[in-house]
Amino acid sequence: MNEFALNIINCLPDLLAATPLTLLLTLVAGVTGLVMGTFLALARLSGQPLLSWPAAAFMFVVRGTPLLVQLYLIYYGLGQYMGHSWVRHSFLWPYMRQGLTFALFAYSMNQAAYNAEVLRGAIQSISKGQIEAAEAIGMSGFQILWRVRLPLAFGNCLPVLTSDLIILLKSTALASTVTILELMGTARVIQRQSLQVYEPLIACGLVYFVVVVTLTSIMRPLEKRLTRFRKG
Amino acid sequence: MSECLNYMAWGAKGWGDEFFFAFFMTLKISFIAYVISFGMGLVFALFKLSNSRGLRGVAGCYTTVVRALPEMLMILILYFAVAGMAEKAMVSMGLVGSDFQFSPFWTAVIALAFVSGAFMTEVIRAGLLAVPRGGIEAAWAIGMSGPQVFTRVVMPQMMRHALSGLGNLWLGITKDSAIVSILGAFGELLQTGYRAAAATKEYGFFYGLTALFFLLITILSLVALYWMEKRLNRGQA
Amino acid sequence: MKNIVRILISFALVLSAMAPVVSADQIRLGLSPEPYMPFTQINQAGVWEGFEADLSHALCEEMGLECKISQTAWEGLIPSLTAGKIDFIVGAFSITDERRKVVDFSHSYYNAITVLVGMKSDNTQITDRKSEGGDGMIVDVASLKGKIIGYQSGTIQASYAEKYLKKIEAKAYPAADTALADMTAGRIDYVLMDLQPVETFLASNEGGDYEVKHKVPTSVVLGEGIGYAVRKGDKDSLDKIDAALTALKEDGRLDALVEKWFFTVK
Repeated sequence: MNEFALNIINCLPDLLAATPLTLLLTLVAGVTGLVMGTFLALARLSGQPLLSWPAAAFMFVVRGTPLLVQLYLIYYGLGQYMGHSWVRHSFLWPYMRQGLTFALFAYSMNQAAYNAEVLRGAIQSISKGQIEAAEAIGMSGFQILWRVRLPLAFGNCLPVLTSDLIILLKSTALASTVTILELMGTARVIQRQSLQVYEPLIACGLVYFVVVVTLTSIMRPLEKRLTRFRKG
Repeated sequence: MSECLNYMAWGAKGWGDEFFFAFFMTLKISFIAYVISFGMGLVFALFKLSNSRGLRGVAGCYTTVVRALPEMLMILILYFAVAGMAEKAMVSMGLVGSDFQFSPFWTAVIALAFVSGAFMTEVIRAGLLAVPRGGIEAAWAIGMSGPQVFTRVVMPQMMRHALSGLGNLWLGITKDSAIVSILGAFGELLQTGYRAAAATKEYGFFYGLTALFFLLITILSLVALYWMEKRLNRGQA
Repeated sequence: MKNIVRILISFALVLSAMAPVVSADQIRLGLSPEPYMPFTQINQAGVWEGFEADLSHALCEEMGLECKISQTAWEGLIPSLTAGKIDFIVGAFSITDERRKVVDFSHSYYNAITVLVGMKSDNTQITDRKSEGGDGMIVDVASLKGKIIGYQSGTIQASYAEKYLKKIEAKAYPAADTALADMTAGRIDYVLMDLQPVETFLASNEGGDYEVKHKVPTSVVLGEGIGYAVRKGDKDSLDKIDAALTALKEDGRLDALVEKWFFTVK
């Protein structure tokens, strides 16, 4: 029993060293996804079929297929395509060469679709009264969007957005299947090197648990602060 | 373009039949895992609502831990753990003979079900809490026994309230089933896509095709859920 | 409450009934399903092909047992073996001291050669040097400066790279063909892997622009050839396999298979 625990503890240094990469993936994809998602939601809700149909189709396809399939499609499919195209000889190549770029793109895309769906619902649920009041005092369309619609929508759905962020954090584990050495990937490397089956996985689980619980407990006061002026 | 048609041919030369069977295999894995996770969700939801602190603690532990960890990690741990420890446990409890083994298929399915079960517990718990007490009390009053009250009064109403959550979990499980492709070969969609892409080097085509098949599952599921919701809400004001 | 308990128990019994019972005359071989020609691959028809497939059939015929091939993920092979889900690991599995700690090996039946494969247009001179620890000649990592290499994780090439090639950027892949895919996509410069699958790749459409850049000198880390792995202490199965292998070696059937599947080593 002691040997088991010792083995687990031995895995921890390598795993903790890989945690920043997991957090980086989460943060970058989370922020990019949120920004892209906002644009998507607005496109979806705009009156123009040229904007709303592609947006709706994109959201449907991305939410209707597994993240792992999207990851493989972008990493291998797009990767092969780029490797054989003009990009290979361009100045972009050092960035496009990296697997991380593709993984970030896939995660951002996925997050954007899910965020867009949540934001869409939130924007639609804003009471008409608020919009009418803003129009009455002469705000332009853009001003209404920026000062009324978006803040209210974000306030409405902030809890869901934060839980989506936690889901993103957990899903970064899948990046280990495309050579990204984040937390899960490092655990699997330790598994193969040391030929231990359980200890690296359990150590990895401990780290994830601590990270998720910490993040969740940071989110709650943050949510309260950001919505402190809302009534009801 | 004609190359693409060749790839999709039926039989020995093409991958068409492989994908066809893989489609149903994904459905099979998802369905069986879903049913098992529903059972687990029901059990643990009842634990959570019970009067015993011990049961509540166990259920709380289960949902908190499983929901905080990545699905992929849980599935990997469970795959190896079910294979080793659960088998040994069942043998030592005398439930099965010493030659017993979980087949890889069942190990993966149980792993998938275990992960989903944690989320299922929450959905069912919310559904159970939403059932109006009045109906339950009335059933007790006319002398129905415990299980009768449960199956005839509580469950039908719970299903109605929990339907959207249950539907989302079904959609989630069909997509999570792709993760089992990491464990080995079960002939499900992503694994087949991987093999086809690796053999032909047509990564974009076959992964795109895999995505389309998953999308088909989603579309069919949404239609089925819509129909079920209509049915369950019959007679509701 | 009683009913629920009854339902759960009958459920467990149903589950247990569905698990396959292993018959005594069956041998379960664990094979990794990723394509790894000329050793193994599953073709479109779902049939196993390649050197290992043929060799396994010949061995099972020789032993008079029925062989059942069980597809297992690469890193699940050793755990499945120790858990008793499979009886042998097959498929270019190298004999190393590290692995000997957890499994037992049959006699080696083929000596794999490790090479670096890269683009034809790449003119880098890769050299060997004497290692400090008295391990013999190793690849000089300084000659690979600035390059990125790839390898399959959990293999002898992985151990080699982790021991001797730490100074350059290296990526681990779940399977050899994903490493080759990334090489053709330009993400990595070289792949460190067995010669035979490299030759298969070079002969394919994709491999036109590539060639073997360097043959890695033999090293203890690279193992003592490939063999069949059995559970530690499973002397029974080990003896059966060794006897069958010896029989195949002696009557030339093993050489015939090598001739059939492998490219001649230059």
